[in-house]
Amino acid sequence: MADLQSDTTISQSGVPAEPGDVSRPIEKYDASKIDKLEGLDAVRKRPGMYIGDPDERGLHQCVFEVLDNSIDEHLAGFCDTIKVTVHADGSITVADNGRGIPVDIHPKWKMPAVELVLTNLHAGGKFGQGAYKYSGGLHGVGAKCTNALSEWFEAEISRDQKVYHMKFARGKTVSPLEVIGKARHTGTKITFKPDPEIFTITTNFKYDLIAARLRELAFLNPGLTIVLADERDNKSETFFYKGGIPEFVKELNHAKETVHPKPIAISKQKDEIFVDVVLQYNDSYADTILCFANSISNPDGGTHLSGFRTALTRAINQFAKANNLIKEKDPAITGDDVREGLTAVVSVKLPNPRFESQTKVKLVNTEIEGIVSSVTYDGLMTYFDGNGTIARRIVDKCLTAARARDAARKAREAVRKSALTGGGLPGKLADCSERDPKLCELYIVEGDSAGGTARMGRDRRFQAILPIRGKIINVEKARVDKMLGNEEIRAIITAIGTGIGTGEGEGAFDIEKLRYHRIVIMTDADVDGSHIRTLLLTFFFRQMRPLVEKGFIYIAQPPLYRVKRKNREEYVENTEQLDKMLIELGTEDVKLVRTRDQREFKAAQLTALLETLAELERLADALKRRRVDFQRYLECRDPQTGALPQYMARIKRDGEEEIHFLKDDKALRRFNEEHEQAETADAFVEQEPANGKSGEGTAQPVKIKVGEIYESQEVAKLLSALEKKGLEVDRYLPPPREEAHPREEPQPLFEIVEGDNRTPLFSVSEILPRIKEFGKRGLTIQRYKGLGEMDPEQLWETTLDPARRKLVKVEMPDFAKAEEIFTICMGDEVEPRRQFIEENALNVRNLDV
Amino acid sequence: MYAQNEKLIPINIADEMQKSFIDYSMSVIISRALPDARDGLKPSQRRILFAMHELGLLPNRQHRKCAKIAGDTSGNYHPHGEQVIYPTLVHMAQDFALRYPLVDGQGNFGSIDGDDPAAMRYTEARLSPIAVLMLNDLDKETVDFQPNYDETRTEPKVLPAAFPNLICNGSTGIAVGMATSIPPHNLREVVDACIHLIDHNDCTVDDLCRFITGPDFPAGGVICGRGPILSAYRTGRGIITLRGRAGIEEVQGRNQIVITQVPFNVAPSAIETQIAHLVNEKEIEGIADVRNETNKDGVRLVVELKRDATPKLVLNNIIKHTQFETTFGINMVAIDHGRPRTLDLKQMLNCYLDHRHEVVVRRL
Repeated sequence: MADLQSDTTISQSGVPAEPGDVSRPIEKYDASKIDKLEGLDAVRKRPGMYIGDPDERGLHQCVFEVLDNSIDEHLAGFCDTIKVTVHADGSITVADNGRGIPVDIHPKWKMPAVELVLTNLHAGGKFGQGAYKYSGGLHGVGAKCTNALSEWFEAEISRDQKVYHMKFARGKTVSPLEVIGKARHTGTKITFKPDPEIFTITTNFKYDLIAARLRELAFLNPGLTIVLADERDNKSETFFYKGGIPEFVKELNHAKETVHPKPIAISKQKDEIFVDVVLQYNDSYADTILCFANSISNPDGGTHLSGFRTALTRAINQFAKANNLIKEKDPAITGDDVREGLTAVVSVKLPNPRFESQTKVKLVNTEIEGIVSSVTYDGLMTYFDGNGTIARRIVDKCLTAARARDAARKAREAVRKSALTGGGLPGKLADCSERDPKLCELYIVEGDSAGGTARMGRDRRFQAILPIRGKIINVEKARVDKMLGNEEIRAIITAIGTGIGTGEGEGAFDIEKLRYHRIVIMTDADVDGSHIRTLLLTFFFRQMRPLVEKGFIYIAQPPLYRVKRKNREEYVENTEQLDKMLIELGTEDVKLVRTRDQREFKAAQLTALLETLAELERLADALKRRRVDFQRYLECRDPQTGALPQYMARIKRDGEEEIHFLKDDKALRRFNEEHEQAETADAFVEQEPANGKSGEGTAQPVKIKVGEIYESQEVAKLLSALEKKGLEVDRYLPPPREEAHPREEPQPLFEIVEGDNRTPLFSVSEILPRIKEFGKRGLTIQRYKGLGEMDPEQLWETTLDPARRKLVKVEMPDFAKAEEIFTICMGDEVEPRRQFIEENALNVRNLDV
Repeated sequence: MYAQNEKLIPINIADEMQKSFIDYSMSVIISRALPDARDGLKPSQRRILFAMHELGLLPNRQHRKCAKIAGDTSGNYHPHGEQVIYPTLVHMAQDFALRYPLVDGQGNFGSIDGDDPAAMRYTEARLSPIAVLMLNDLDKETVDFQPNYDETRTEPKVLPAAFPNLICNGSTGIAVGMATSIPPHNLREVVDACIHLIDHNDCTVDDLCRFITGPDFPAGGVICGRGPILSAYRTGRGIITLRGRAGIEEVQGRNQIVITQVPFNVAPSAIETQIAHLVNEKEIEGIADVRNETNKDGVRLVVELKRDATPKLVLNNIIKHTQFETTFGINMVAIDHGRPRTLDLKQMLNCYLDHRHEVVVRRL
């Protein structure tokens, strides 16, 4: 093993030179300043080249890289189930039942293949050796990057009736490949925790982001089951779609009224390339076209998209002309018109895909354009010939779109002209004196009373204020002409200056004419403010989408609370900060005394202690949700090392349940040997064991479930931190009831001392809530409801001053998801909205009074 | 002009939409548009009654200006502006809108014919005797209180409600993704049903329908068909047909149709306009003139007929083409334990009885 180790340990030469070193004039610039990054160091040093920015998107890219390997396994025909689990400590597991990464020693590199592909860049099975024909992976880079960027990374491979386990930390092997149990089936299970040193912005996985990608994958790969579970809040979902892409299109349209009930599906193989095109029209005005190459989403489209677009326009025009459906005075049907209300998915599978960048957002293989175009055109013409009525309906819709576009253009021109002749800007707009749009900000403020405050409180050099009254019209439900008749909407359009919509000609949207590079939505912090915000966002999303895409839309963050104490006033932004503040105040005049030896904890010490406690509480909650008895779990803590069990096994026998905590891999192996019939821990454990057939023999089958407790390291870390600070960890929770009331009064563990006042505490977990109570005393906490409650001066200090304010920047990373949410929340159909509300009722942040 | 290290927090537009929309819709559902299953009041109504209770406006005291009531409600409990409170107050005082008015008004509170009430600086109000029943025992810790919006006072989460307000007065409201429409009922029938339900808790909806025979609208009228009523009571949803009452009088040898009752929420003047329209469009023949004689004594819409007209035939046409006959969609949704629920008749009565049980136990 030793020589293998030296192979994988990377660059002994120390830390490579910082770019800053070069600029120092005294030092010589010679060969010693040149370095070559070895192996995975390169990834850690410059993650941008591999996963994009180390922000939220890069974080999820790590998951998708691992996931793509499982998908490729499915494309190769060996895997039908993938399970993704987000754990409460921020780690994530991706498990599949594919062939499992090979574990035998590679003849050339003298190390297990799995170690090779997880630690050495450009090692992999996708360079045409025959294991994979169509794959999204092509560089041999993905999983290594994830490994390199993870605080720890575990691979568990079931293969050849054995379970292999291997562990890495920041790309380096920490525990070599070993056998930990027996396996009945095959598969690969990867668990990792992103490294906070790299992902400094966030290491928090977003359920919705992952779910969106998994859903796509399940649609693109019919027959593949994907399970997503989130242990942080006990959510889980299973994605399985027999119908494939047509079902995907139906799903995208499910909240809308469709023009024809069945999507048009075209599927053809040409040379080595598979083309799948599915489209369906709905009665909305927006289009949704999603493109994929080898199951990888290409949000920026590429050659397959342009091929599809030209073919669609050509086919519809051709059919309309051949059947004399276009009248003389009708405007020509353009690409925009055929896309109105179109939902389509274009998916190609090709060997050797080429993408514009590492993140694969755009396909650039030139030969694809012609192939997709001819396949789509032929397919559509055949379909139109066989389905005349549907074809006519589609042409009708396109004609309506063309006419509406014409009418809207005229209406827009009229609005623009009237706005221009009528003195230009709306009367209510308080414009700024700066003329350079890059420096200007526009605040759209709810209500005239807040508008006045904002107008007085702003910096008039570069901040403009536009008050709008009441609730603006819902543009999702209203037609363009009605929308343009609305006074508030007109004021917004003229103030922003870009025009609206997607068409061309005078009055069409033109980002060059944008008058402010920051458009800030500032509404009251009550629920009606939330409603107005949704209405404004809908307007921007539907009519000025480039503003959303390019990040010109912001949301102001006025403080939520004003806290008054004696003569001091303070603003607090949100509930978390309020909590923090309560802790701070609560610790101000009190100290915590350990009764055992009268040791005192004072301000700073106590604050740090409380923060740790809060974090621990969060993890404990997550464990409790997974039915882990936290009290018992803590009892299994190793008194010397402080380590906590890594696995939990439940044995169900005669309706009774027995729980074993298993310390580590070794204990797990021993346990498995003792319980021969049990499967080892693997993601598919939930299946009934084979001997579960009832009726055989008299004894009830014994069911064993083994689960890994991924939070164990995190909890152990926090506990030792607490211990170091001098807290008795074994008294974290109050003693069980029967012991709590013995004949004599129990001795308190701690006392909170404030002057002569002593409050006894009997467990560690009591400390936090008690301190908060102390913090609340003597405070008047006011929750702000309206911006009008503030003086102009206060509004400037908290919300408008660029040096002190906080702004939320609206972004749109997932168009399909945004489209769906807007349709459900603001659209015509009631039933999907009701369902959406029911599903999300528990996520409500604040309820109105 | 921007500060160097401005704090910018990115957010996904879909997340922001979802959060804001859920906040708004849940608030509208839970605490704005739907009534509580126990006292049948929406928060705004409850706050007005409580504010009036605090002002001591009992039925045997002097009326007070509505502006004062609206102002107190707004300032103390309902941070939403007087212009939305006053219409709520007025609605509770209208004997044609509520089967059992909760507010006793003095002055012009509008009419069934669609006239607007006088401005709130003119009108005066006090609690009605029924409203006093709603508030009885409030000070005996019979119900939970919660802090008001600025945590300077407390207000009841629900009223003790010795009067079964939800079913007797009904309620309508449109929230987000759901709505409610509960018709009013006769108190005598409801009380009989409640007594039966207390004695026989395992009885069926059909048993209760022996006591409660159907909705009882404040402005009278007729319900056509018992079947739809029963099915609405069994499931909580259904559509019933309402019709006004009309008679045929003979004056100086000529017949005239006289409408004396109209369906719930239909103004006689609306029917008048519709008839006039039909006559002008020549869709109904045989009508000479329409006169709306509605006044303090009640509804009276006179349709004068031509000599050769057949009164029955004309009346049938009026039924067919005007709001003299309308439908009422029943959709009995109320907030039960913090969640919206569609209730059938028995569940609705049970919610009320459980609440009363708790109130009575807590009073003892």
